[in-house]
Amino acid sequence: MLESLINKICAWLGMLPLECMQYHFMQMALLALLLIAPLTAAAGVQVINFRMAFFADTIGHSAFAGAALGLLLLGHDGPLWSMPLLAMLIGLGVMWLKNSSKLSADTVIGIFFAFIVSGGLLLTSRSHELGHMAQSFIFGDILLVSSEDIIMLAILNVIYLFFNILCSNRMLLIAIDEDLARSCRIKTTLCSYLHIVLLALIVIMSIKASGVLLAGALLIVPAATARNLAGRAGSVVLYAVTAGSVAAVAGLFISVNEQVNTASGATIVMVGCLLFAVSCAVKAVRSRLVK
Amino acid sequence: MKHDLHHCCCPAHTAIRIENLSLVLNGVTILDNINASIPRGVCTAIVGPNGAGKSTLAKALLGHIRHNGQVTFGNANNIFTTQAPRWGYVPQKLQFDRNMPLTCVEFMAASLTWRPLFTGIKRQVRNRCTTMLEAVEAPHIADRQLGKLSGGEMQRLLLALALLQDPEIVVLDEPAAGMDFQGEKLCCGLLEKFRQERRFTQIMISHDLSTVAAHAAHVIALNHHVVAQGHPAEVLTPENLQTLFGLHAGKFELADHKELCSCSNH
Repeated sequence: MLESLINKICAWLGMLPLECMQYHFMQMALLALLLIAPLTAAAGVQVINFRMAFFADTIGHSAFAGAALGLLLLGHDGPLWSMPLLAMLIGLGVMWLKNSSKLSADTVIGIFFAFIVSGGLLLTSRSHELGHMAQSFIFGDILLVSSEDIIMLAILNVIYLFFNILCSNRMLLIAIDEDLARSCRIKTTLCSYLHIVLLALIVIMSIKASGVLLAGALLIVPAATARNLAGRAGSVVLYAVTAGSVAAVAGLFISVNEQVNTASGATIVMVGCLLFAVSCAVKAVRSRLVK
Repeated sequence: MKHDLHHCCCPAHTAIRIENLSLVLNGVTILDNINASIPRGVCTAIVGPNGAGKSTLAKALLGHIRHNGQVTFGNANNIFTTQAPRWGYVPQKLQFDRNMPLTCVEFMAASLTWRPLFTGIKRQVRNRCTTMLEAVEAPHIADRQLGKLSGGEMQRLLLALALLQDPEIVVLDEPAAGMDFQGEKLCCGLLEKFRQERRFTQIMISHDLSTVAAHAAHVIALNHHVVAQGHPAEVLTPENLQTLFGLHAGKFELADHKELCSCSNH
């Protein structure tokens, strides 16, 4: 049933007046990006509020180790489960060490980054199959997205939407001051752990679009763009989702243009960076007008 | 019957009872066997030098730090319970990203409702926030960004946020820090007014003895352990100040609050 729904949506997307949209893989890629971009952009707003930009990269780089572990222990389909599982464990580990030690967040994330990248390289060097998969991990390949990926992304979108509806205000107060949030009767530990688990899953799912190297970019760049444009917290998410979606769709179409023909993930991030540059200019003009 | 609030230990009139509270962080004893009580409905000041454990004690009372010993809260049913009251907390300062696009009303609304800010703020919630800002004499900051507030405005915003929680106990960590004399006077005056109107218990952490002498009805002198506690005139003696700060008392006038134990109000 879900497969037929996906096919129906793909058929609608195929009605777009673009030649490239006649291909099923392009319809799937666009559908996946329409699910990934708003999700990562909304998550990025929280990442920036918590000053955790480097965390997204750490989770992204855990994909190598996750995939290699999955292949070694569970066979060909192993990475499907081992990657999100390891990402969640790393996220929980970062949170636990940060809370239980006196180390600063960036030091804790740096330690996990070193651990997971070295672990990933160690395992990759033992797995020939992963060596072949390495390129698609590094650069991402949205054109190879499967129906299972789309279903998982849709589920993750629904879960994250619920989390945002229930916890976005709470997370905002936690980001400002955890003690202050506690005094407002917010269960800060529960919210923070839930947030980190969801964030880990979102980053892992975004690797399909951006690749490991640019895993954090889909989160950080639209959220930073939104910060330049928004004057209040209520509009940041809306600006971020818009900037992320525009960059994703424009980047995909530019990358498959015959004269351009570049990696989709990198092109999407590059468009996102251009939007950020425009937002900086808008901010500068605005502040001059105010003066 | 009129009780002496400094010595009344009945649960109906004691906001917090602290028994054998100790706290060790990284092998260093921060708080050593603290036994104290905080009377209900008045301003209690916790004084001591820097590093005496004042803020840590406040966080232990708020339940933010694990500790040994017991903290119980007296209630109207005349029993001590571990069930925490509604808190209002005014931290010394916020270590937040000052570029965060967040207005004061959004900040306050986030503590009142779970409805995400990106779906807008209900008129009813906004009105509650702006009314509270007017009460703390800062209606002009409603739509200003948090990062653009002065020290005094920030303290008044934090006070408004604390009062929005309808608190039974308000904890203020160095409320006058970073404020000029006028700002401090305004903030302390507002607190006095709200405390009398709403009858909450106020705990003020401070090392500013003139502020303490002017506003506190009960004082706990702390330097890792309780040096003295009771009426300001009994606690802020030259001997105690010598023990606490290693200096003789400066000139400050003790205000006579004439406050009695809250049971005298019945």
